[in-house]
Amino acid sequence: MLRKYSTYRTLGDNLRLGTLTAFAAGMVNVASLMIFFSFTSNITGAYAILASEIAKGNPYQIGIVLGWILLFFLGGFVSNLIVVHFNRRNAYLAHATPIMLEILAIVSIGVYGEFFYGETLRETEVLISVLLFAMGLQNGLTASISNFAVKTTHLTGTTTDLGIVAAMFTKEEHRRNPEIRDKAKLLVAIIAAYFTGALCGGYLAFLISFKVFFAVGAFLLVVPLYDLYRLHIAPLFKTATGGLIEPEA
Amino acid sequence: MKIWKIYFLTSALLGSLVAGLLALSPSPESLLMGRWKEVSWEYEMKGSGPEVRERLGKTLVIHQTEFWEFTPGNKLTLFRKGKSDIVRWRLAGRSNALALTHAGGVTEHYNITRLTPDRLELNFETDIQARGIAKLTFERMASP
Repeated sequence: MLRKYSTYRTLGDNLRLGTLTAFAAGMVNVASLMIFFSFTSNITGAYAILASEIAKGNPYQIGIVLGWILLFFLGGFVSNLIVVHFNRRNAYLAHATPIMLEILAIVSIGVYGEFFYGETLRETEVLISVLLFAMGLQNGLTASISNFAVKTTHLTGTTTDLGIVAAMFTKEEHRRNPEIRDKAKLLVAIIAAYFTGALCGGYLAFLISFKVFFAVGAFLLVVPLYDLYRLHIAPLFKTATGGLIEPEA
Repeated sequence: MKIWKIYFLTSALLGSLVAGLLALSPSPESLLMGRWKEVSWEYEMKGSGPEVRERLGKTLVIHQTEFWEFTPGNKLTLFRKGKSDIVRWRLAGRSNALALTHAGGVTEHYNITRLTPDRLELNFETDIQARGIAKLTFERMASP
């Protein structure tokens, strides 16, 4: 799921990465909306809010929203800085590190919220900033390693692409095209996973408040652990069972 | 080496811009502190009559207080006819959301549409993303 890069990835790789990370992003977005009254998995709205705050002349809010946009950007930048500079040395480590950083950021929100949060505005602003940075890390990683096929923290582009694909399916030749069919499967899977994650995130945030971020962290841990299993543990089973379990190509 | 200098300078510039903007104005939290006199209560939805007020009443504790006093420690005192109620308040989002939690656990959400040293306008939110249908306007009072 994390080892392969760009065009070497299969539909299965992208489906697994897309659904797992979209589910986590959906959870984070709705949980943060319920706890902090702010979306954190995408920043399209933040640009509109920034423009509106500039028009209203509120320097404090301009600073806050601009800071949030820059942190989402920084997440994508850091993620790809790691990928670009370490991909050739160890692809798995280069791709797993941004996810591990994201997990660290999200779990730290859970820890702070659970034990230290005093409900002040400053704390809220900082916690939202950390979540936006985490979502930037995730989106930057999934987009770059999948050659921009997997974007999981927002659904604007995904829904647009699905509309395009649905229109293409009105012609027989496109319906038979395996590439377009695969694209449709991936888009539907990402949308369904994000929506399911959002439902779960909302329900869990209502029930357990900040602990929901521990659940997101645990869920995201599946991403790096899956490849670790395929790389190191599955081959051991293969040896022990005489090759009954095939490691992923 | 040159590219890293460009990256560093751009980051420093953007970081300074954000810090400067935040330093330029007081925090909305500090701006909210003090006493506010409730001067008007309007229903913004056309045709809102008793049935709307009744529907609102299920989620909104109708205040119609004489004045509100925000104090540190997230404490808000609502004064009405010689009586007072203490409510827990917190600002969230980009300081645009005000949540008031009453002793019984009922939480009301307001959207702060205007906050200046002298004026505060709140829109009651029946839904976080929906436009408020009740608007409360306050004016700053001198501290006792």
